[in-house]
Amino acid sequence: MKSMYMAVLAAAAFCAAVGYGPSPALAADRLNVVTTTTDLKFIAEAVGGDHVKVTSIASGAEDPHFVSAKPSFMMIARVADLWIAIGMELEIGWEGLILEGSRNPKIRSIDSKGYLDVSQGVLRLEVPTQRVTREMGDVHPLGNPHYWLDPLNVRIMAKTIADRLAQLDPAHSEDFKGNLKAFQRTLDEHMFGKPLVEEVGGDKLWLREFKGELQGFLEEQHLTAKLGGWAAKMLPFRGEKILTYHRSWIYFTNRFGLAVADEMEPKPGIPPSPGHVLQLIEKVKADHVRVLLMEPFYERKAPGLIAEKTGLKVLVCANSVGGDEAAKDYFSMIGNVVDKLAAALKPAS
Amino acid sequence: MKRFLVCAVLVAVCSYTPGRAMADAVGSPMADDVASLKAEMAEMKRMMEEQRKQYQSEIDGLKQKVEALSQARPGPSPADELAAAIDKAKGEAPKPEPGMLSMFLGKGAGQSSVPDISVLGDVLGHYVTDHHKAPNPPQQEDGKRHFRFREMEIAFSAPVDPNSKADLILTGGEDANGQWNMDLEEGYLTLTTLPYDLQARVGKFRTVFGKNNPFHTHAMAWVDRPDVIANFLGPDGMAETGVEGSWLVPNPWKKYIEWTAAFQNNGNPESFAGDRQDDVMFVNHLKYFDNLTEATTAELGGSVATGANGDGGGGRTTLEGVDFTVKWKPPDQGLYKALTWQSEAILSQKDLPDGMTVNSWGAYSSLEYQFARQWRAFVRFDFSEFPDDAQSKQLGGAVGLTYNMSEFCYWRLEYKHTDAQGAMAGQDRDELWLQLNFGIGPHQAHKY
Repeated sequence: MKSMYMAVLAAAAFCAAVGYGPSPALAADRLNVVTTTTDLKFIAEAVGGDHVKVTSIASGAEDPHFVSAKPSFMMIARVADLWIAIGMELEIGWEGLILEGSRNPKIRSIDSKGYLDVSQGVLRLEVPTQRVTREMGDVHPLGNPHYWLDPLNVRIMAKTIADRLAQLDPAHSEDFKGNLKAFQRTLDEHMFGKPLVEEVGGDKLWLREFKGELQGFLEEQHLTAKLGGWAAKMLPFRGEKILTYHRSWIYFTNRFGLAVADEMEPKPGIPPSPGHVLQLIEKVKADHVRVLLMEPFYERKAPGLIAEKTGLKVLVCANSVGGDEAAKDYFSMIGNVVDKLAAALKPAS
Repeated sequence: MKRFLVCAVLVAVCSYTPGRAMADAVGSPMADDVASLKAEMAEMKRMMEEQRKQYQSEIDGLKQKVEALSQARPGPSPADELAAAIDKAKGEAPKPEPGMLSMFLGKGAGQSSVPDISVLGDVLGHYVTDHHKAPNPPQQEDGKRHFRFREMEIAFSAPVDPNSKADLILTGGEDANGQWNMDLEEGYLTLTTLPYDLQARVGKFRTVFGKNNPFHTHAMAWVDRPDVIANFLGPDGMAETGVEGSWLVPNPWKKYIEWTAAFQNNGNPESFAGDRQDDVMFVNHLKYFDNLTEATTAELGGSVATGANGDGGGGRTTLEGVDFTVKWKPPDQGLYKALTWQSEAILSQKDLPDGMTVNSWGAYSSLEYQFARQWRAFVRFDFSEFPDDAQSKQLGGAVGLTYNMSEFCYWRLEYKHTDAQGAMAGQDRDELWLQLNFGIGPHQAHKY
């Protein structure tokens, strides 16, 4: 037994000697950033540029509510300088385990510089104003956490991240500012089209959009023809009712003027029962709902049944970067949803 | 300016000269003077015009500057206006419901100052075939056909200060006679900010020995603990008071290697001293974890526990354990499909008062498959001897089905057959359980 303990101690000493040595994998001047989701990773990489190395815990393919807190994630978090989370309890089932298991004092405390909850700056929807109980299903008490599906929130998220990177690495703050500006410009061009952004400016367009005055402004300035991007593609479908699987698309539909008629889940997180599916079939027929928008990680049987009975089109689209082939980055992810919706909702010629 | 005045006087003089005289003057020296004066006046006019243009240009320039300055005066840019509009909207947005507790505690005293409190209930219906009923069955179930509230767990968890957190878990339940007993299952302080990837616990905690023992009853894949765990560590597993340190071993391969070492009281009655505890046991556990693929993980663990067993004569018990777990969960289908293969073996060397040492062992292997969002099935094989008796053996098999009504409530049906051999021959048993487990309040997520 003694010799076994000695062997274990020797192995531990070796590991400590090698493991606590300098890590060649990470240059000293790069911040090691760990994000909970791939969307955050994409934004952090865009804003951080060459000064950050970013790793995401979730892969984008899974439901972000139910990521397994694998011990290997603790090893990733162990060496993080900054942990960035979506917040609003999206990661409540696994984030705490990883942070605690990481034993990394830089990121463990939510009030430390190394912990960033991006939701603090964004526009929230569906914040409950009444007492939340589990009777309501998986309702998040701080509001619906799928806010990254609103491009305006992504603009805000990018600034929040850039500000925190500048705090942690002041020497490169000008680079972060420049990267932020470029990222926001690219986002604006995807949203409104390049010619319009060049003529009017992204901030002004977002201000009008935010106030619900964009269309009026464009008509007044005789710029309607110049509107491009996602906004132009979705413009003809404002007011259109769609079905979603989970209550995860509300930020997207809110931004592009769609209405969610109902969800496949009778209550958030509760799988559809046969009775609820029958109700949905009636609702789809009565409300002339033409599209069901759902993520790839949900089952297709119940949606397929509704489609069969009503002619509804089922659109399977990733809601996170890396969630499917089309979602290579945030722009292509939203672009894919917009293109599929526009094609599905286009009146038959 | 002087030249301008002289010129003006001359012009005035010329203007008042009678026309005749002017006419006479043509061709005379005076006429030359007049012509010269005229030329000078023309030059003066040109200069004046130039000056006027210059002044006008300067005025226009100044006007432009004033215009530019007025446009550049401090005021909201579109970016500022957008930020202000967003801030205003956020300010006007509804605030999250503060929760009933903070309403009682008053404004400003939110739930953040109160520990997370959760309560779990575990109710069993249990049936054992009478003709095979053991007189002193080794498992926690006593063989009666009845329902019982096996466990009510009340858990409190909160940070104590920036360097530590506390967990208190009270467990109560009905015993075989229907009497309620309440006990502290766990109660410990975790030091969370130790240097060099260290963590420590002080208090009463479930011993980190093997894979199954650290888990609470409600977090298991089965209704009952495997025979080897029940026989060597106890029907509810092993939990003792003591101190524990764990170290995330740094390594060049960046793999998860955790070494846990603990000193805990030797009060465990199955393998150690029970009521006659007067010493501590020393426990070590080494855990290695790796991702085989994106969907598949493997965990290998090794454990050693040694301590006085209280059987007199200074005898000791040493337990060695090895555990191996493989999990498969494809990310894009993780809500509906998962597979867990978990196996564990324990070897025991227990000194008896007569100087003999009992070498015994046991093992289990379990396969659990999730085949739908709310459904899981398992099969488990058990083999176990006893710490005091290597001649008696149990060979068992269990199958079960779990229905997750939601994340916080499940129903489970389990059938188990146990074949007893050696000194226990003839004490075979068939058991059927129906389990209902539910939880309310924020309960900490379980380890992977």
